[in-house]
Amino acid sequence: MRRSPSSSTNKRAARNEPHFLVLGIILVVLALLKCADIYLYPVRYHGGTLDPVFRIPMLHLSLGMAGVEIILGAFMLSTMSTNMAAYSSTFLGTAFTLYRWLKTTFTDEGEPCGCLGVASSWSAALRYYQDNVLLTVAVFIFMIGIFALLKETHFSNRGSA
Amino acid sequence: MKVHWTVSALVLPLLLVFALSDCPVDSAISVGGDDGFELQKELLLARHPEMAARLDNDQPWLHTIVTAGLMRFFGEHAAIPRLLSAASTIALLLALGYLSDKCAGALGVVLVGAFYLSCESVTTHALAAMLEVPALSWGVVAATMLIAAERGRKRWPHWITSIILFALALHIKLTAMLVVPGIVAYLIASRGVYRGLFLGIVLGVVCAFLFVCIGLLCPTFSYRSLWGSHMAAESALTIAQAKASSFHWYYLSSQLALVPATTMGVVLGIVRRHPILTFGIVFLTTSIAVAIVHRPWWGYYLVHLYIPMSLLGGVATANVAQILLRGFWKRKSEANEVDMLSQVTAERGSCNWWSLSLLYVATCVALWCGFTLPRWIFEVKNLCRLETADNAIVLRAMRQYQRQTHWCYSSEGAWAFQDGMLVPPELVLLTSKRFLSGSLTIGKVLDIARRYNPEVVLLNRAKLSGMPEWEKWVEADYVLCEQDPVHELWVARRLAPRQLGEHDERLRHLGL
Repeated sequence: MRRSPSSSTNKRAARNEPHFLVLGIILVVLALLKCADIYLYPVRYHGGTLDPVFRIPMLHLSLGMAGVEIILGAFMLSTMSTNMAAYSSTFLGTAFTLYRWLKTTFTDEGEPCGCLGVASSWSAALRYYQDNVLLTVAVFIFMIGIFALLKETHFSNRGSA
Repeated sequence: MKVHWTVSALVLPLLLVFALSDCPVDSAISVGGDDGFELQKELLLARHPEMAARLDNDQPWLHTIVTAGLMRFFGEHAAIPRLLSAASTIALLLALGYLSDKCAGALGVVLVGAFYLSCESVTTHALAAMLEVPALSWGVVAATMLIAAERGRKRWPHWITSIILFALALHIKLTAMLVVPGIVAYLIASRGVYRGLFLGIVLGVVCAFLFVCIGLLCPTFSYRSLWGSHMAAESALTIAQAKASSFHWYYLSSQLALVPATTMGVVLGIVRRHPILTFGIVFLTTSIAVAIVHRPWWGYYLVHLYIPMSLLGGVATANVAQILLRGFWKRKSEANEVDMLSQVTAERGSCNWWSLSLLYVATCVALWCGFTLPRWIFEVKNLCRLETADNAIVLRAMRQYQRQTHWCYSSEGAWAFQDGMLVPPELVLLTSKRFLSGSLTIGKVLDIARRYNPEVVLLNRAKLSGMPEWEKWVEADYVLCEQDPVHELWVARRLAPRQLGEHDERLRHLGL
């Protein structure tokens, strides 16, 4: 017999699941990195630079995204249920992946790099591979979200996950 | 419905063929790797087989002889050796597909193919006229035949095919030997120490006999040409040169998804003691050991590591992914026998295994999508945009003198090949190894070039600036007929060539 998504299994706290724990930490770190980037490199954000996809100022978009990420990450590490975490991470992951794909389509960013050997330090590597790292994070959130959602809505009903 | 492993193994190569449909396989001047050396060797052997001994060839002859034969039959097309490399890569993918199907099912077959093809430069080298990829590919195919013999009923046909294929692979390039320890490990893992070693020695002796028999039919077959020249280059290296031409671990950082996947594959192989994974682990260990020890070590040798890494990584990722998908298609009690990690996790009975599996798969897929896939797409796009002979202004000018030219000097053999011009045999293989070992110097190259008195000389401008004696030579006997930012085309005065005009005249000539 099929159980509804709101069964007792889905009321568990997301922080008890390792994948949501890691995802929560990543979201908080990502938000803090965004804030640090805005603080350390203000030139990139001030002066009305528009985001190529949404056509809104980069500063507003980055601050907004940092806010969403830190709230979601904090909730995931505290009170959010697995069910809600699965839905929200699927939504965020899909949006984030789509955004990265659209951004790559709209901007000609030259040769994508796959080798970390040329970077002199971790901060330089992060800056140099920013697009690769963010696409990786986007796909990671999407993968965690979609599989967690499948588990919550389908796997647990078959008694095998 | 169970999909046959050959279908899964051919999905990605077919998609890649579609993606590369715009790639100028025949007219591209140079694809990469040792493209130029091989094309010139094959052209020389197709036209003047009697000059083969003058080549100072430090590699076995089989690939060159076969390709030269095909060139005599189908015409002198660069596509012939390049498509041979592509066919070898498809054979390799089928072999890896068979091996991974036995460990991880259809998903494993697709993942192994995706991991291998997306490794840095693998797609490029799969289309380049090179020895490395065919040799190792057919070596792995031979090993797979031996593994198939152990798993099937009809052993003799598989054993004989395996021995013949391996002897042929060694005659393409000796690097095929890298799979030998893996084969021995497989035989020991599947048959036990004594029976495995006995079979390995018997097959090895027969293979060595066959190797020598084929070698006696080749233009040159000696210890010095096959092995001695490599050792001479290694011993002549200075400390700085050895450091510059050695393997560094950070080269693997271009495979951010494959490294954790391979680690998981090694762990899985050790835990489950599956003979095929044992083969992969020993193959990888041998390749790493050779990479650390061997000098000079070139970037394209990474393919030695990529093959076992892809096998181990693909199998491991497929097994972990099956845990995630298990509940989607079947109940726990219906666990497939190839679902090895599922059995481990079922035995342990821990609820967090699913979460950890999800973290692992998500990490591998995300790293592959974030780092490997964009670089791979870029590589495929670059292959479709390769410079062709028709677009190169220097080659267009060179073509006018094709009929009057007997010899052409060029340090880039691929350029001369595209206009059907032969480079003097002693100067076809201007490899770094020959310069490092001291068997060739710039002075000797000039002496040989003067002796042949080539009608056409194609020089690299950057290299020319540091060599005044070369400048004197070409300015005395040749006329500068064309140039691009990199090359200068000089044609012998006796052919009465048209001299390259002044700047304004050139612009008018170009219609500017």
